[in-house]
Amino acid sequence: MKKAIRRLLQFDAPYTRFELRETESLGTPSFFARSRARRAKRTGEKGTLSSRLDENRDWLCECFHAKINTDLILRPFCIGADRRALAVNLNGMADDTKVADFILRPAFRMRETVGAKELPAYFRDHALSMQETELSRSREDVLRAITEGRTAILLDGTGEAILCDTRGFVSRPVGAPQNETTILGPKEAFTENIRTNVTLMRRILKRPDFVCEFRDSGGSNRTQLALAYLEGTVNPTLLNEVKRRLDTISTDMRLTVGRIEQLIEDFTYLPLPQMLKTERPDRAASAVLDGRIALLVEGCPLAGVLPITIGTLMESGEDRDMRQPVGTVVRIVRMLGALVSTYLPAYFLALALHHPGQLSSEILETVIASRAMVFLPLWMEMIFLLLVFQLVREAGLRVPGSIGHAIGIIGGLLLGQAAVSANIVSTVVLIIVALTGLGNFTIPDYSAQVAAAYYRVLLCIFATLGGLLGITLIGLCATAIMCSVKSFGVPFFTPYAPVTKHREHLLFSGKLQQRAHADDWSNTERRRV
Amino acid sequence: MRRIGMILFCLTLLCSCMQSKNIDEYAYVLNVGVERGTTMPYLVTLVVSSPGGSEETKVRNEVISAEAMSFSEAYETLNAAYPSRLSFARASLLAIGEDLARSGEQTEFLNFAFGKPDLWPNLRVVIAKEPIRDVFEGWISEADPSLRRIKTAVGDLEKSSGITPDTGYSMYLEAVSGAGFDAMLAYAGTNEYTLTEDLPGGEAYPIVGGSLLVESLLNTSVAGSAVFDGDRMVGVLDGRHTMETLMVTGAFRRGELAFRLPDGYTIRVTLYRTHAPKIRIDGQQASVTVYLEADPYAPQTIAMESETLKAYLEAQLETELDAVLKALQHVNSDAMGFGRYAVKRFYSAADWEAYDWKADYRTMRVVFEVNVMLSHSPHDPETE
Amino acid sequence: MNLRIGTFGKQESAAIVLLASFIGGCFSFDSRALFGNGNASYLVQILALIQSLLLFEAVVWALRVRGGNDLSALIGDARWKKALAVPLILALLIAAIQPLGSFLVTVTEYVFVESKQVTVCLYLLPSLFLLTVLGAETIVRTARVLLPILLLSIVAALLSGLGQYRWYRLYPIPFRDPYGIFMLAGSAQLRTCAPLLALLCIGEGTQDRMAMRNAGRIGAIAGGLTAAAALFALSLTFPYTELKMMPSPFYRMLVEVRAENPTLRLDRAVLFLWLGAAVLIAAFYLYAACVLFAKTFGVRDSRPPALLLSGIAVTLMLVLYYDSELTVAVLQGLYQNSWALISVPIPLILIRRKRRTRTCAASE
Repeated sequence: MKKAIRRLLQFDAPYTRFELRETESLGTPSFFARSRARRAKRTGEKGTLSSRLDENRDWLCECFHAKINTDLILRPFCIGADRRALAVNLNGMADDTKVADFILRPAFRMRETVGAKELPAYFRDHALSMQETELSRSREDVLRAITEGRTAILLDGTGEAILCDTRGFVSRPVGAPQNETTILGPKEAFTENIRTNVTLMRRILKRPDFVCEFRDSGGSNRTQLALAYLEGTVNPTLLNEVKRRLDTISTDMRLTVGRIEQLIEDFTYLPLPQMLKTERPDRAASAVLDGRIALLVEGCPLAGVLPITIGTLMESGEDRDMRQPVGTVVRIVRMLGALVSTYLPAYFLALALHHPGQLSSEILETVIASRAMVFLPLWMEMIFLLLVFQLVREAGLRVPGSIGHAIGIIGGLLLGQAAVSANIVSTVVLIIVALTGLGNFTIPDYSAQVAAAYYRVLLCIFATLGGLLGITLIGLCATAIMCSVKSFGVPFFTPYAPVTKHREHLLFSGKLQQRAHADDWSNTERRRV
Repeated sequence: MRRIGMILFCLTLLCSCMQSKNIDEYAYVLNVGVERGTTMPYLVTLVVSSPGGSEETKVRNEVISAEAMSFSEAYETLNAAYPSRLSFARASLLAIGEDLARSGEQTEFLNFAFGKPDLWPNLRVVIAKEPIRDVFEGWISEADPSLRRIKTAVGDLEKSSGITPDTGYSMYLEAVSGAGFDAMLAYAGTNEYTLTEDLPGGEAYPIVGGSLLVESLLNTSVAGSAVFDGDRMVGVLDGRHTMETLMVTGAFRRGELAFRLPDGYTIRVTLYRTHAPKIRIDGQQASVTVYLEADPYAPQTIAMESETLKAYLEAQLETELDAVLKALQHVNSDAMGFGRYAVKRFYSAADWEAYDWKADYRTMRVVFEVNVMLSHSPHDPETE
Repeated sequence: MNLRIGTFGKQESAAIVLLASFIGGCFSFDSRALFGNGNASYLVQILALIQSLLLFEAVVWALRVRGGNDLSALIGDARWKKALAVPLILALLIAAIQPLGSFLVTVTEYVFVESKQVTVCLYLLPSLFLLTVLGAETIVRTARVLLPILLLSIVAALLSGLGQYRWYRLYPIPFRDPYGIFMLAGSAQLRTCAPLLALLCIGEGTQDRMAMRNAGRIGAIAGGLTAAAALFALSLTFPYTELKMMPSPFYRMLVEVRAENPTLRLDRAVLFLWLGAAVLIAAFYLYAACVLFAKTFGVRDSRPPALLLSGIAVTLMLVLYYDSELTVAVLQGLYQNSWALISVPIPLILIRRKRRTRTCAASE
């Protein structure tokens, strides 16, 4: 009996929730979160090429993590009869035709025999029919060339590489982002092709430690997924946990980023997203540079970024492009917008129904005069208008382009005016709901916007029931729940609670110099401290 | 388990729904007045703001009154008579009838009143010389229908002219609770009556310095002050003497006084406080030093040097302060607040409470010293 | 064990101690006792803070010597461990309901005049229960998130009353009776000691003993001094003759700002913000009591005692604050004697049981 009750109440169950402890590798942060700078040293990039082809190949495989990174193409061939060579490039970045026609074919046709030392220059001058070629002994040059989409030809016994311009990206046009529009930022968006998406990211992340690990999802459909991250920067515990969770997916559903998020997240009932869904390659690349993981799914024009914090949801793609003072003002306006959007209707209801003395005489008179002939009770009027606003918004989203804009105008102007004329709603409430709607659009993330919309209705109900007491207690519970939530082990209010060594302010945009390296809140290996 | 928990959670909250009313179901009381009634002990008068039926209609202010045995009875009577429920949440001014204030019965009544409705202790309090209905109606005009700024105006009067004190209900309560000073409340009356009052000492003088000759929308004026001994009103000070009393309490900021010079000319002086007054009490002796800056203006040339004028103003103010204090001592009112300095000698509440400060105050000798700093010479043509 | 303590850093721990010290110092005193003999509440607060810090340092020193992480480790070593834990749990329970009860009175007296205490309590119960069940990590992180807003509201409240402050209201300062002040500080000890006691109970979650010690020191000193500053401001706003009769002096202080605000009055918003903090603090105390209870009596989950203690706290609050006559009698007794619930068991806990010492010596 005791056992049954215990099982029913789920008491005594071990606390198994995954979390990245802030103490994991760097020790405890000091009280004021200052710390000694620590920077991991990159290895393997400096120096010159070996004269042995096998050594060079091994070195490249190590650099590009070739075992898991299937992007790297290593094409061995022979120049003339016996000179072994290796053409190296990245899949999707280099044009296959150029490599075949202007590198491999002339190499196979070459009959002359020259000494090993003279071969690179001779091969470039007499065989390669390419416009832009370069000879280099530097490993760094070779790595840069490969990540840029060029092909490096390594020749056995020479210690020198020929870097040929074979850059040729995917030909499918990449469109502009539809939902995450920016003024200062780039205007590219992900497509449905996972290879294209990887290429789009790789064009931004020109470094050898950027790894795109392809894997199949579980279930019979075997959708192709890619985990993009910086090897040596990302927290390996986090990476392993994400892989473990991806392995648990076993479904026949068509998988998208949104569905995968729901399948691998911790808190299913939380309205707030636990993964950032972005259609912008630059935003995903920025996140990867910060030490996070980007999840790409075949057939989905979005990338999922994880883990996230409340700051990530309130950050727009072009925040870092703006100058410091302007950026700060924009952020403050955005936060005010979000606060107004969430709390204004409930606060107004609480004051109007329970604490009218808190409103000044002028506002009281205006509100009372505007409600003179309205037959609905105030709370019902407010909730009705909030729902109408959601209706207009949903309708505007779902119908095709030009009609969508028209619906916004019709809903906003005509319906509002008609409702006021018909004494269904009062002008003051209409203004509050309009302000709320405007504020809601300042929240950059769509999922967070929707979450805020429903939280607002909940707050309105409790403001009606218990005035400011209801709002306070619901606000407290919501804050506590958000504080208990972890997005893939990272608490939602990081870096404020828990405090981490590097704290990027939610309101004040800091100097760009401070953002030289990755975030430290997910305990990245090469972190910004 | 979770579902059951959620259901219980929601049910719990639904049980605890607070009582609420729509904002437009209330009528908001702006001013509250209480005075002695004719058939019953209290006559309660309220100014109620009731917005009109549509957005175009202006807000109307109505004055309603009821006689009753207590405040709650009057409140219920008025509530029953008025179509909307009365809310005191925005009440900003409390007027007490002079007859009631002189009897000292208002404190008990007010203590009860402040316990019940949504009435806030940050009201400004005035003593009404005439029937409160007349005073309230004198304030209502087409120019400012909501009466909302009257409270601010009374407060500003203290800062800008010094002819009336800015005393709130909590300050009044503090004075009544024995905090070391007596209350001094603003004095309001309508212009239709002759505003004169005899202060003990025999001299009669007008409450308001002049009388309004222009036809004005507002017929009620606030000037001078009613002084209290504990919770009982004992006398009235005119605007000039109120200003001088405020110079000693430290509440004076700026004011204008006229002085008749020995050669028969009248000079107008705008006074500003430069430092807080210094008060020292040593047994039965006290010394008060007041620091002022004076900006004199004479419409005609006067044959007086700056130093002479300074000395004259200082002597004049010291004499007047002495006269005001004597009058206040006579009625046993410590409106200047000497008790606030007397209390500093005590290191135990019991000792202070056992000590009869008022007995010593009545016979206390005070030396006033006024330091006037002339901002410019009276000959200076730039003045005004 | 499933106690849901989690892990938290120094700033979060300091934040919860700071908030608890402030809320305890400002919202759970007995006006009649504190201001009955003059106006020295701020001195009492500082003295009580010093007494509590001494007690805290003694416990931390004992933990360092014996190698424990939290208070239950010391209780485990002591004689009559269950008997010693019970008064501490009671002390935490009283510390939880004192500020909440004070707010309950304020809310029913000034805000929801037509509602009963039970209605307000029904609002508090679910939030209290939820917070207590979510555990220490959530509570301290919430405190860290809310701390800037609350500090801002405190500073704004103190600054807005600047025009009302008068020095003469401080007098008479009861210097003639230092023993009285010391005794008042003793009876105020629960208010300043409870945050540190609760921190010691959940010490396992702090990263190490030093982190706990530093957080406790910083939080208690900052919170205690903020509370003392607020009490000082209160003493400058009202004379002691009024304060000793006032049910909710801090709320009255907010209302005192006389100027007609052209747009909004924010006194109720600030009041409810502080009420939210009081609920959080109550949950912190209740959770600490749960952990102490669970560790001492061998319960392996924090949720059953959380459910139990939240219920008891709200019921006690209703009983104590429902009937005014009973309130006066019981509350005065509780306020004046609650110090004994901490000051008596803590020294006893510091004394190690002899048998244990032998065992340790043998193992060494």
